[in-house]
Amino acid sequence: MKEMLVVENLNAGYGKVPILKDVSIRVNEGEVVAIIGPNGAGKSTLLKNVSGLLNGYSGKIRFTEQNIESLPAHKVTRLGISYVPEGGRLFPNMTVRENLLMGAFCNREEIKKGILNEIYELFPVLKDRARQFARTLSGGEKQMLAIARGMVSRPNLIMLDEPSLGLAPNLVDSIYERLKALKERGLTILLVEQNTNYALEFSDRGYVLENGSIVMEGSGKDLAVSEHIKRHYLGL
Amino acid sequence: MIGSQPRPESSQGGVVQAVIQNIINGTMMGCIYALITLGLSLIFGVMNIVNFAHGDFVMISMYFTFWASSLWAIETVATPLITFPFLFLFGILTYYLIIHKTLREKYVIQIAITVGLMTFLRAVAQLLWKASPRAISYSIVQGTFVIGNYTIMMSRFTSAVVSVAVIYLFSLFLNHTWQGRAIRAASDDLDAASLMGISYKWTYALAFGLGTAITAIAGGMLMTFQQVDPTMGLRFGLLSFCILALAGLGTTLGIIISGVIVGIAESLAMGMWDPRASSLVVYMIFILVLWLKPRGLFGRK
Repeated sequence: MKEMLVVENLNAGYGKVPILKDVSIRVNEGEVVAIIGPNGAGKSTLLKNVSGLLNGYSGKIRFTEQNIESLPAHKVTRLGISYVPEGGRLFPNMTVRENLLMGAFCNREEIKKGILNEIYELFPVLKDRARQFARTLSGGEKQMLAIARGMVSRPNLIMLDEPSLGLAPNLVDSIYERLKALKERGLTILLVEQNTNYALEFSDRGYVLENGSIVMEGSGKDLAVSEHIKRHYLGL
Repeated sequence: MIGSQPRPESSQGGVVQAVIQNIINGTMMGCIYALITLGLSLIFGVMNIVNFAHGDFVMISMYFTFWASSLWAIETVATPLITFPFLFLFGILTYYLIIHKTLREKYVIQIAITVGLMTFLRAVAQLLWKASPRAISYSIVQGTFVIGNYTIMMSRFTSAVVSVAVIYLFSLFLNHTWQGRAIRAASDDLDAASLMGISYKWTYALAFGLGTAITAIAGGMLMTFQQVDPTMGLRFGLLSFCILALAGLGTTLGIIISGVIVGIAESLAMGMWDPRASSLVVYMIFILVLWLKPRGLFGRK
């Protein structure tokens, strides 16, 4: 399988506070990879470093053979990595449609090719709300819009940060249904989740991140049956 | 016959007429103030920098208009065609050379740097154009026209119409072009905007350039009926702070309405009370708004 994203010995943190210690992960083309771990383990920090919002102290990040560890966020996005941050980070004073348009800012051709219709098919509620300001959406709709916005540019890799955070169980189901549809289209996904059950069931492979280090790695199924995961994450 | 007209009635009618005349004048000035404020709001809304030099950009624009008009005999109303691109470049340069370096600094440093720019521009104006006021000698929009009992200056009327038209064009730009939407996105959430592939550096430079370039149009319009001196920038700067505080952020219609409110208040104070009272009334509005409605009358939360 072809490697798409490779993180090697990444050390990173906020200012002088170190969070990640020698973290290495790999995501292959067409794969769904989950990173699970407790609150504060550094899962979001890892995604922020890949996306370019943060630049680490040392280590390498490669995306399809290109070194991206020192690139700013807008250049990383232009290479085809889409990052849906925790909480969605929508543009509250722009309409739903405008938010989607912004998602295609660096790939405007897709708008002409009719990607919005495709998105509206997958997320019908966004079509109904197209002219509403993003700030008026409900929590579930906001999350749908955030994911949809991350898709409009037809990225090669989409990184999702806690897509189920703060949502009611039935909404979590409906988010994961959409994610499955994306997976079936062959999209490469890197997922960060605290909702271990959903994450492991959904993904091909997973990493367990604790205190800034990768402590386990394996297929989603293998991780789900391991004693450590059962005891600490699934509460079995 | 004339002497026998009942005086009280006529003087009452005179007061009403004077009030309405002042409201008309104030409304027209208010539209130009709104245009100046739009530039300030663009800069403040996107990069959270209060540009104390904004009024001095207006002053510099007025001098450029004076130059274009007196040296090259260009019609005053048409001077923005030259001064607009020039001030746009000037704004972009100012951003890259001065403002960009202060983005991560403390608020105090940003204030100090724009106040420094303000005094610098004023000193340059004093050097280039001397301290005595300058005015243009001729413009096609001179003279007045009369509607009923009210006299309207052609120059102010044209300026108001141009101002409102430019504000409208800018709102179209912000709402319907990729670069305009990028500016709005960056002002909503900068990190999220970079994740869309928007370069914040260029977007900031663009917003600063456009915010500055808008003063070229305002300055050109003001020169059709006003003279310019090197110290008048501060007045426009403070007026536009006041209007922006009244309007709140992210509303172009709010800026027009607030501009007109301030214009009318100023004009009424000047015409009905005392010419020296105009600033007093404007700052009273400023203080009242900051006290009672700190987000402005029309601003988003």
